[in-house]
Amino acid sequence: MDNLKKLNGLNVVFAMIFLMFFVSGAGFASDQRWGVGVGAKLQIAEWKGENKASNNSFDSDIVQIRFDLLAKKGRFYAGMSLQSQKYEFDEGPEKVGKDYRERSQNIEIRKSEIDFVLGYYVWKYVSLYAAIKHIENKWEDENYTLKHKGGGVGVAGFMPVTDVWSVYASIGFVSLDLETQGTAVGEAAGTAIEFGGVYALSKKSSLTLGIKGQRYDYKFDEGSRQAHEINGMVVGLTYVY
Amino acid sequence: MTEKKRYRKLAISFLAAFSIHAQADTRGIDLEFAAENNPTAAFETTYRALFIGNNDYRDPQMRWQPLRTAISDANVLAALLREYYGFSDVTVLHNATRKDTLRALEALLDRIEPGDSVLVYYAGHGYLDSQTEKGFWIPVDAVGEDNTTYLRNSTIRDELVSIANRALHTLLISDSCFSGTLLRSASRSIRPSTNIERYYEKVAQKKSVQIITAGGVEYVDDNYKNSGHSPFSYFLINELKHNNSPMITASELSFNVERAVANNVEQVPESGVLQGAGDELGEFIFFRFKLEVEGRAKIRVNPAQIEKDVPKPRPMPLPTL
Repeated sequence: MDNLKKLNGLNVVFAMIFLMFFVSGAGFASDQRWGVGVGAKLQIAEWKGENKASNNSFDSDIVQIRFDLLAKKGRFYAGMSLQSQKYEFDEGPEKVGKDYRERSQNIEIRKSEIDFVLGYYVWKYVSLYAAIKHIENKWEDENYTLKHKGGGVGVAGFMPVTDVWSVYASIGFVSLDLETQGTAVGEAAGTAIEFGGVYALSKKSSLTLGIKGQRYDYKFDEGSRQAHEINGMVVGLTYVY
Repeated sequence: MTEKKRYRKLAISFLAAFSIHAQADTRGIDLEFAAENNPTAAFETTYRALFIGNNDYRDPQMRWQPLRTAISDANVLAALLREYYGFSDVTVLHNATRKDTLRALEALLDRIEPGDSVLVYYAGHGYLDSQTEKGFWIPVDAVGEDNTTYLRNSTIRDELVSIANRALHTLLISDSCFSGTLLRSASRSIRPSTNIERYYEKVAQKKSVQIITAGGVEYVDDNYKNSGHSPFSYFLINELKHNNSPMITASELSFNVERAVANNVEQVPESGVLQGAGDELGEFIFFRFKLEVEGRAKIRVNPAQIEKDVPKPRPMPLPTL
């Protein structure tokens, strides 16, 4: 079990990338040309959760935008995703350090996130992907930032329904190390699920309508735990050159 | 309107020993061969073609003289394939400059979908640099010996590789001098006298990237017997026009054309594959549909098998965690 615990997010990512090179999809040979694209997603989201040690909850609604850069060649695709948004809380997630825990009230938290994704189509409609993830939650006007570093793996798939409509879904699992002011303070594990429809506006562009949910369980070395959920609707545009 | 709607696919079913009747209008794009006992078996493809005919060379140094037949070769062949062979996406380019040619190839590439059968035809001057052994197509804006104004065979080859990466079948027919440097000779299996249906089924499913050229590294004569066509295109058109078979493969076509040309003029056409473009010994098949076919052949090709290898272009969002 101890060894399993040591298998943090980055280890999982590298193992996944290694695996991808050895997985073959039956009868799948795709366009070998390079393709690059851009995407933007508007998410109407609610960030809610619970400070379990204090038995109080928090929530905040927000409209956030995520920008994607993506590249593909053959079975492989890679991408980078960026987003940054401010959330307001009356009652917020507690600030937890190595040996302290403080209540957060009437605060604003800027959540900035960057993901690097590498995917591999094992079948023409299904891909496995791995991601390296970095999240920074900064308590505005306060000297507290909680950094999340790690990675995860997932499965994404789509299925054409008509000439222009496809349904898509993805599920991923993530493992993150938590630190504040350069000190490790705990770890978090989470899942992300997204599903919806993709409307092909042309051979190069598509519109996405979907629902996305993320759930994280934070386990701090100090002894407390937090549950976080970010759920919302997603409207996106993708353009591949 | 999607590409699929604009360019209807040609769906054809054949069954041995049963009567098959072409149910076609004259445009070809709505054609379907009905097979009573097996309505689902079909070979499904969209035929696309780019025809380039260069007559009016405007070289100020007068090295590249105007031709007389290239445009009519392209026009007649385009009309023939559109009318009789179900080519639904046809572009004909007259007197193409270097830029025109490349743009047309790019535009063709953009339209290609998995499973398509794509033909590129070029009629015009060609040139071989004997020192570097590099071959060229000569656009109408080529200037004298300045080969930077020519279109290198390696460039054409790159465009064809991109086309071949998307299409199931790709065929280049080049009626110009020195086009033979584009191809690598390759022998394909001869159509068997028995079990023909199995042969067609096999070659239709395999990817093909084939080339038929007018004459290796020899100059191509112009206006064969005042027919208004070059000898190569004359016999090519003749072969397709008088073909009575419901289908003819590119290899069969080139074999017949090569024999006819060699028997009549001092010119030996060549055929082969484009090296390194993924040819799997499949065959570009010309289906002639203005026929009443009586159990001439059967072919069962599952469309899923054809299309399973290449995903349709549908930009998908980047998954995130």
